[in-house]
Amino acid sequence: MRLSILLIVVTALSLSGCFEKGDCQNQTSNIVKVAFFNSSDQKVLKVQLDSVFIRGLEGKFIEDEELESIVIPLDPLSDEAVITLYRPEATNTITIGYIARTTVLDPACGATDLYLLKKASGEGISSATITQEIVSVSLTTNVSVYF
Amino acid sequence: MSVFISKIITTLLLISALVCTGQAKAVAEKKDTVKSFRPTGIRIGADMVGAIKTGITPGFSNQEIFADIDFHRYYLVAEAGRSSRELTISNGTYTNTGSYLRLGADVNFLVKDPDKNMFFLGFRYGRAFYDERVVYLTESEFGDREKIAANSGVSSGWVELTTGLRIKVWKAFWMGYTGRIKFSPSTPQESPVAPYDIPGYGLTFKQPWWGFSYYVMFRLPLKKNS
Repeated sequence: MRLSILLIVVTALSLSGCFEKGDCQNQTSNIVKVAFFNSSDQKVLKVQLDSVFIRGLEGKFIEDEELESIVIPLDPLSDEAVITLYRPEATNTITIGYIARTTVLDPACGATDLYLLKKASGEGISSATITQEIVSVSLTTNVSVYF
Repeated sequence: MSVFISKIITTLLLISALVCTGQAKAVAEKKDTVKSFRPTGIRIGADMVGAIKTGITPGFSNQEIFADIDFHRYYLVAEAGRSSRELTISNGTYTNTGSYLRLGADVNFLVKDPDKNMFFLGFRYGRAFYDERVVYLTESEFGDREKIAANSGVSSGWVELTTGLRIKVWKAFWMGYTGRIKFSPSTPQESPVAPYDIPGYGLTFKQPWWGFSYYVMFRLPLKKNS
């Protein structure tokens, strides 16, 4: 009797593993949020952008807007994003280095990319720092740019 | 379905091992009078589960060999294998090839058995060396393009707790199984591909995971009447 109870318990525990499947809910994203700040007081800065270009994408990505932040896509086949900001007072280039790490969640879900930001730098700006390394659907600020 | 069946079989065999524990305890209670740590034989064998799975699972291949040597009730164990896997995923293909080695020890709880049959508990440390390659379609603002990502020569380690039986079938011919619970796989953190399948361990997101080997073995005696 005790053995059959043990058999049922152990079998039930073992079978629970059969229903374990990879999670297809993908929390990763290739959209990076770049926020602008004033280097002197660290406060959010609205920047007048005449246009924004992203290497690898044809045409202007943003045109004639005043923004506190921009969201830009990362190329899954590259390891660097180069963003050119045309402002009335200057032209700036921001470079973001990253790893697009291939992840297989489950054969049914296929392969996706997990983006890990590794470095940020810029020309004509005070500094650029990575504030959130993993790029996710939550769209928090990933890179802070100080003017 | 094959996973389901293998789990049922393993569960039943583990139950049989639990039953054997009772016998083992009774035997162990008898105090050993003479303890000799001189090895009496080496067993070598091959895993039948991997061989059968290789035959019935498209895109899968696994060969594993086994050896152990006794030091009284303690056995040093080595298991080595190689495997390959090719999977069709929803947006491409995944391939994996590699080899692995497990080293560890077993403690025999049927030390008084005249045929040296054994019920054991033990542990292993496993290490795998493998390559992975994923070819898949990426969809982004930059267009729909094929991406090829690969891990070359990566290494992972893990630990196992084991239990099982070894039964003398006829003369030097032995059979037995090892059930194993596998823990703590280590994987490279920034490799181009997040490891999906570690040879000898299995799927990386299954933690802990378990395995089952059924060995056909030959025992080579190292001294007379052993």
